[in-house]
Amino acid sequence: MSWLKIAVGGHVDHGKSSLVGCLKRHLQRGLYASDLDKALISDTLKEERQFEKTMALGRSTARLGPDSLTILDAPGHREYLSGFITAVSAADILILVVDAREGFKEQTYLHLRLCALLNQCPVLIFISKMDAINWNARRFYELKSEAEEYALQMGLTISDIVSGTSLSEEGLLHRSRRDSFGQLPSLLECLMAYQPNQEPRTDWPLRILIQGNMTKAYGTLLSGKPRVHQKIQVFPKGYEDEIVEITPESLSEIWPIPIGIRLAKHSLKRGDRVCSLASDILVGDSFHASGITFLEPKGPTQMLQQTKSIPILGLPDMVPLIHRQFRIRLQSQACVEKNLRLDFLNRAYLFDGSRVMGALRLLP
Amino acid sequence: MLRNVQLSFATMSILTRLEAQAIHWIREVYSQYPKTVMLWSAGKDSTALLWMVKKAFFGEIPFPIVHIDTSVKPPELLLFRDQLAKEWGFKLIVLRNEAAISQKQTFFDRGLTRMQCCKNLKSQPLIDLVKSDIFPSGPVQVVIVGLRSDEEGSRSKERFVSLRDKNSQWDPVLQPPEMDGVCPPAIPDGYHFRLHPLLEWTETLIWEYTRQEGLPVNPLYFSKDGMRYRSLGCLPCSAPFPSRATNVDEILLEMRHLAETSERKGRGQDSEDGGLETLRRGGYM
Repeated sequence: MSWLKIAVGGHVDHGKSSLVGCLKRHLQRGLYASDLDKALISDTLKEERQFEKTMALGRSTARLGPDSLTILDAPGHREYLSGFITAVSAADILILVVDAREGFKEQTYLHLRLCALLNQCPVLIFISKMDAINWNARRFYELKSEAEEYALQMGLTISDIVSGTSLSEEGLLHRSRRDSFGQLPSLLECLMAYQPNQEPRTDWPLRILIQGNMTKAYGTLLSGKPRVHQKIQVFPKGYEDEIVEITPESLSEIWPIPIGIRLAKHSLKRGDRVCSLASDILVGDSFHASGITFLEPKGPTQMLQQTKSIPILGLPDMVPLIHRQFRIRLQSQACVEKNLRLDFLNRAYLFDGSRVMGALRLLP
Repeated sequence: MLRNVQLSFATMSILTRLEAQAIHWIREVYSQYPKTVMLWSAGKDSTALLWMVKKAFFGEIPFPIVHIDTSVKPPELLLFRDQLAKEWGFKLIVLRNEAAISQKQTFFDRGLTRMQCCKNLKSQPLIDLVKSDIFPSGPVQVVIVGLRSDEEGSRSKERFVSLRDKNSQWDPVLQPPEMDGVCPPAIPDGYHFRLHPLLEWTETLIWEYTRQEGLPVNPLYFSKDGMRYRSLGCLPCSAPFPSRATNVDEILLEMRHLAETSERKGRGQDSEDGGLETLRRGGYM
């Protein structure tokens, strides 16, 4: 597992913060007073404790044996959606908490939907507050099949569906002792067994996203294994060149890899992508995508068609929008050169000059 | 000399990913917002971060490094600061709120609260720096800070890229969404960002990285007469604790027990009037 980033989502008061509190108390033993309410362990702000609700994304990293877990505890209230978006965009796995009594509610659907739009990471469903329904197995299996149906509709993978209660930590930190639930792993067991997809990308096509240039260009190696003297193609301009220097000389095998690069003839600049020959996008190509963009009156948004969007909390004069699905068509060479950068991991970034205006997932 | 201790594969893998994440953010933010400065306290976290900046830019440090001097920092810390600045060859800007120091508007001179003192001697120079003409083309756009989310409650509520308003005030609830390594495309007029590349590191991971990279360590972290500092700050408000650790390996052994207690236990300002959250909302790092 090495390092797992977990986003925790779900509807208001379904038990997200209590679950995170249990995990943190277990993993960071000794740091929290024994009489401190579990839900308050990650609700550290004064106003969160005053109003008894999570308002800002909480982040904590803890050791689990030789590995590390970063837990991103997102607020459930709709007005604080920015926190959940931040969490799910970066997560290796989403723990979706569903109250056994209330089942799937508005924010449960929205969080699943956002996961499908922004990340498509696996989802671990945790049916919480099982003590409140007296560990009713029938109810658990009802919710389980409901979860499976939604995940299927949204094209998401469910890694596990488990149940428990933060009150006794049964099903959460250790297995339940109830007959019909004893076979199910605890949430903690699921996390320990989970293997994020970190397959080697050495044999994939070469993709280096260039972030800037100082004495040489610097950027991120997303896939492939660049070699000195290798012939490459640089998009969006499309010219061919040869690699003359790679820094560091010995690259790690944990992607993405920060890298320095110099070419024989050209100087690379921010927004360029260094690729294997003949493997990038062309004028006339089109994509379906979902994701977030920062819309302004002009700029790359001209490319966006059939946009359906939900405004969310934004910066002054600039409103981030979540796009459910829209079509990008690369109408001209200018669009290809200035506006779209693909990383070939089904993610695209919308550019306006050197500014990133959006992060998108390409849809099949 | 420190590299002969083998790290586990899992730890190396975590450190590699965390370092890559930090370097990505540093490069991304600096490429988009060149009017960037970095705060350096000469402690273990910001020294590790400074090393990552050097790695990000092939040995160079392309932006000014700022140290806030309260006039009551331990002399060993200042000596370490000056030696490393010379050795690594970067531009160091030292900020002091001379007015507050000369008028004795401090905790140690006039019995102001620790919070007021921190505000005068640490927050105010930082707020002034952001508005200053350090860059001829306009005010500071980004301040890079080596804080970690595991240090203290309000820091666990931080983002990698965190927005500050015209008065450097922080509202943890009203922050724009972060999209997997992409920083916001513009900064509203008068606002600036704080970048926190070490947000997902822990105290133990920083020591493991220090050992892996063979980084210089401020001697205050090592035991002298049976006492050492775990978190460095001003002399009147920081307390050392009993320890026998005289090198990084021994600190890491000690961390197996210390990880169960707060790193900032010895820092006076954390226990006063709303603690660090109040200070940080007002512009503190």
